[in-house]
Amino acid sequence: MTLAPFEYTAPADLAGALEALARPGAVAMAGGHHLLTRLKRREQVVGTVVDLRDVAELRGVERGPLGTVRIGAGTTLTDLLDEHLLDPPDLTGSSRDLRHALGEALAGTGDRQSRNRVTLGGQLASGRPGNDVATALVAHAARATLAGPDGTRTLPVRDLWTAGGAWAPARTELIVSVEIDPDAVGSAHARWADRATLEAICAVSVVLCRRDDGALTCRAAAAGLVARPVLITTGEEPVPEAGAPAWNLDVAPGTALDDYLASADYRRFMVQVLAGRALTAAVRRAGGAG
Amino acid sequence: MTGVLGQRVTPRESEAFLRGTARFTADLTPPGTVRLHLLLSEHAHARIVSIDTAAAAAMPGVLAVVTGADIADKLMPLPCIWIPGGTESHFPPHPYGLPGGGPALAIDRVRFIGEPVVAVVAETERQARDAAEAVVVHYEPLPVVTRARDAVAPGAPQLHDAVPGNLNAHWTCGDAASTDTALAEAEVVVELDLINQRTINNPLEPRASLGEYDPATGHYTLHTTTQGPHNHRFLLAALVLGIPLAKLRVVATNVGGSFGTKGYLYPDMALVLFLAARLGRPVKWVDSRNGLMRSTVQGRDHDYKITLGGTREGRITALRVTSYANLGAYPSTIGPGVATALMGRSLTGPYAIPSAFCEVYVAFTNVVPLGAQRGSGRSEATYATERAVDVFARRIGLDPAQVRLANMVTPDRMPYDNGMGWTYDSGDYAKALQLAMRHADYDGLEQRRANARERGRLLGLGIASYVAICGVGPSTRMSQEGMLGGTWESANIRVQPSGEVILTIGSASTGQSHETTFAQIAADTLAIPVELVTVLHSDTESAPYGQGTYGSRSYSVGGPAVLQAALEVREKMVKVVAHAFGVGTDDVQVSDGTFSTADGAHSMAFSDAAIAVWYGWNLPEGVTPALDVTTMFDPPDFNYPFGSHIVEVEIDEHTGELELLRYIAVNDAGVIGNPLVVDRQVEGSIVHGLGQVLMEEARFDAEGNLLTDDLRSYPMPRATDVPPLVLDWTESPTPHNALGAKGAGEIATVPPAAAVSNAILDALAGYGIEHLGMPVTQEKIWRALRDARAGSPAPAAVGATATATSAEEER
Amino acid sequence: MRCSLVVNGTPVEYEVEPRELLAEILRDRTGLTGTKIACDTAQCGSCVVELNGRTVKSCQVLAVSATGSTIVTVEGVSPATAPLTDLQNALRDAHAVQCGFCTPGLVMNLRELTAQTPQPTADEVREALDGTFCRCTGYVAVVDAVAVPAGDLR
Repeated sequence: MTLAPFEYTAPADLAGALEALARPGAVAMAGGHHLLTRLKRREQVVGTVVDLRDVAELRGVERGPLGTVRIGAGTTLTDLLDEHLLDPPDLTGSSRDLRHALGEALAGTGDRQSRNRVTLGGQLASGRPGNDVATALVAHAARATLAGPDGTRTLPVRDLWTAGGAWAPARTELIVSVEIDPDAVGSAHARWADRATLEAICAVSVVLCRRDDGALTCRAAAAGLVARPVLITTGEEPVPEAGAPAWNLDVAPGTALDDYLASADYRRFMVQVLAGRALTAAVRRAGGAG
Repeated sequence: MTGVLGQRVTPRESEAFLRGTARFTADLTPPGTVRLHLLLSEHAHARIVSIDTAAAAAMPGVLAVVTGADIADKLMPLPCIWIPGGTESHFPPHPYGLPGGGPALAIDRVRFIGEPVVAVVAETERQARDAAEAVVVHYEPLPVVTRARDAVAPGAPQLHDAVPGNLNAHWTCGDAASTDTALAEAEVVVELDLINQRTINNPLEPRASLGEYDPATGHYTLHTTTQGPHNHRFLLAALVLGIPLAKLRVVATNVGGSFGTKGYLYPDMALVLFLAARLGRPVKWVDSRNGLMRSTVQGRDHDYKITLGGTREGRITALRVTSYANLGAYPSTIGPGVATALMGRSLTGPYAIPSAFCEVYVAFTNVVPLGAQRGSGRSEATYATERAVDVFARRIGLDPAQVRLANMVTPDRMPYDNGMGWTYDSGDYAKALQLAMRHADYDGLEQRRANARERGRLLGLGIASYVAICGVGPSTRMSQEGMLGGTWESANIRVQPSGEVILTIGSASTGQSHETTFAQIAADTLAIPVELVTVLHSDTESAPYGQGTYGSRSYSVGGPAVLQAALEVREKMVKVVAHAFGVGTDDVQVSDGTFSTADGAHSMAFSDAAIAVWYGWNLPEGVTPALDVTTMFDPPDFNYPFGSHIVEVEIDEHTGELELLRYIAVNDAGVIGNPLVVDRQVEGSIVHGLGQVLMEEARFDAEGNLLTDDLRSYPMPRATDVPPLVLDWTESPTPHNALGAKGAGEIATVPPAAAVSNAILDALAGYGIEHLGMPVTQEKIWRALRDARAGSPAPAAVGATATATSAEEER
Repeated sequence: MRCSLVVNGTPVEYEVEPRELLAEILRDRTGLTGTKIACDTAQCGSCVVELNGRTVKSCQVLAVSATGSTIVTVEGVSPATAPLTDLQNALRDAHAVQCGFCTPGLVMNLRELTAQTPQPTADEVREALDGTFCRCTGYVAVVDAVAVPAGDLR
């Protein structure tokens, strides 16, 4: 399978990467997994591939003094899975214990080999915004820090895509890290996958937080309704004793996904089903509705 | 006999595959190899106005840029060698008067997206591909037709001047008059409009061809991914290239799966040979996945109506099928036969149906050419008949298993003429179904259904009983069927002076472990260790006779040839040994690698006997010093493996989510040579069959673009899709060969579509949903349930309408 | 551009175009044709190799991007005349090898699985097989070969 020719550079640091990206026709490559498929199938034309392999500023996973988790965008999904980031510090378990939405989203993404290469930044910028990891991060109200020619900025992960699913940051910007606050007391991820690609057709992540009065509130994000993951609750709603909060499944006219994988009707239906499943699991992990 | 035949011998081929040292065609790169890239048509139907190759020819590394016009007088069209038998047919022309297929490179017109138009040869694949980008082809688009039914309708775009109305043939079998009468008189008539959707075999190895030419000898060598090197040699030399047969050698190294697709002639095969001679360099072509999916033969694709008539007591009295079969843009090497006889004659399945008739309108359309897909024809027939039987049973309120049992051909009626052209050889069809029912705990079904209901789940059980014609076949009979070729098989045994045995067979392995299984036959008969038998195949130079692997024929047609050769060798050796012992031949026995007399007075090791023959000392009168026997086996008839599969499923009645709980497969392939190999082939076949019913479909848009053109859009079963499988066997030897063997390689791909469909519809029966078309997706199930609850019972998805009418009501 | 690798213990160095894939370098330059290329979209897994201790789809890695890496291909799993590994023997004995084309990728995939999870359950094996397709076996024999039956887990 022959690719069209392109130039290549592997900058030694973030500054070098940003400089290289500023050139016309330059595209960043992390693991390269998503990019290479588009290049092989001639779905994208590239002038210069800017390989991020040596950019150390993108690596590292740490938990800050207040518990905020900062994940370098260059972290592979396998490494992230192995990190048990969001487990409470006193939780012990085998490496296969994935008791939170992000872990479940990671485990459901691709296959072993792709997880070994795909980075967190690469997955977010993969061109398929409605993916499991993106959905879990939106439910966690995660923030992404970008570096560009004009410096760094931070924005909610859910604003990484436009309403139409296009990548919102400039071509000359790079995701450097993603931050998650440790406010979840229980979370879960449920998905319905396409058998061909193993990617989610629909997915829902539910993240529960506990208010001062002990009630659980629910922040849920869904992939598969529209091009990008969207919140289907505001995050303020308390979780009822029985049943589920009122999920907001409305989409702007003309934006509903409807294709050979699933119609808009069925997507809406399945999101509701998955949200219920994820909620049940999250409540159980939180120790009950409180 | 050593008794090794019938044993679960671990295939010897595995080690090289596990080490990665086994070579496949794309792995071969002789010194000086250059690369061929084919520029494919982007239009499904268009006139070629002009092709500008100048820029491409000037690019780095480019050695040749060739169009169809350049070689129009050098290469003949790829022939088709299966004319639908017994009926008028129309084909594109071939200079020798037999049916033509497409040219190696399109000349003035393209007829499907994926048809090769320009051949670019360069030092490297990258250079060839880059140069292809620089070729400019001007097309004048023509109207496109993609469905068979539309292609034969008035006003459809015409693909071939020699084929009026795009109709290759209107083929029939059975008795139309008696069937129509029986249907008119039937108490109950069931009618289903079905689509057996187009699928893509997708063997893991893409196709590849390597052509070499030796100017010193004028000799051509083709290494290619083929399951029929002998056929390809004959067709390429005589009917495409016009070179002496003696000057062409065709070799298949290891072939990474085929399932039917690699038995066909393709343009690259002719082109690499032609270009190798022209350029004086080996020319190699390797396909991509996208290339394979767009230009390697696709399968199934019947748009058909089945009408079943019977009594209220459950007797099937008549069966009628009208089908529109989609040949694609050109007739592939045996496409027309796949679309007609293999399906039509198989429609009665295991049942004794007094009146049956089938007609197939075989049409050309602007999509990829049609070819065999594992279980071809038989799977399409079984799907239609088994769906109809289930709908019939439900209509009259009888148990589907009982209806089947009551209608099955009984063993005492063998050999049984099914009225459609097949004569079944042996088998107790009811016994296989009953065995499957026991494995399925059929009696406990209603209890399990009730238990599932309590959990909000709809449980369903589906049966599919089949008879699959295999062991293709008796040559004279095949000629009457329209096949332009022989379908015998051959074997050669040469015993070396060391006592080692070289067995040469005519089959080609694409994963069937032939090197092991055939060795078992020879070793068993000669009473020597199986490790002493080396098997040669897939090289027309070292294995000069053969017809290839397809139609589940290798073991049941090739195997008897091996047996016969081994018996003749043994007989000759016994003669030599008896003479040396000074006893009669009847007094010599063979076992454990030793010839001996019963009283133990004489014994001679097999290897000693072999060298004695080689030396030629003291041979009996008339015996020559060579142990070299070639046999041919032309089977007296086809053989008919059969079986019943039962599937149990659960459906979440809220979401439509489907779970396959268990899959039970009872099959009968006569006497089996290596049960380990056959068991694993059955498992693979079943999983392959699950693909069609659950997820696979080759979808085209109205412009003829293949929408499912790589694995991102064409799902295939994964390990996580496979339910628990239970395999069991009955054994009904065939009288048609000395091994008692029937075909086995593809039989288990025949029933899964019907079995799983029947299970799903059984689960949904309470909602009055009578049919759902394939692939039966989660959303289709959900939608059917939702519509049923809303009070508007299905018609469900595209291509699936069921109307069961009582003839009485109509009067 | 330069691509330096250690392949099955042997250092190699090649001049490559940026667009050349690691799988192509292994097959065409190093001559190790055990690794296959079969699908365009990095799904089928016939190209799986170990790169710096982790399995990857080698068709999805630019050769130049892999420079400095240590690679193990199927040929390096058990050197030429050495006995097959337990995993390879198990696959052979269960007859999980039919046409053999998926076998190298499958071996590399399961080698990683069994190194990380020495006694995988059937479900763990099936999940691991998401990365490598087989069209011949239906995966049953593969799971039989590698999975530890539930009752036998220690």
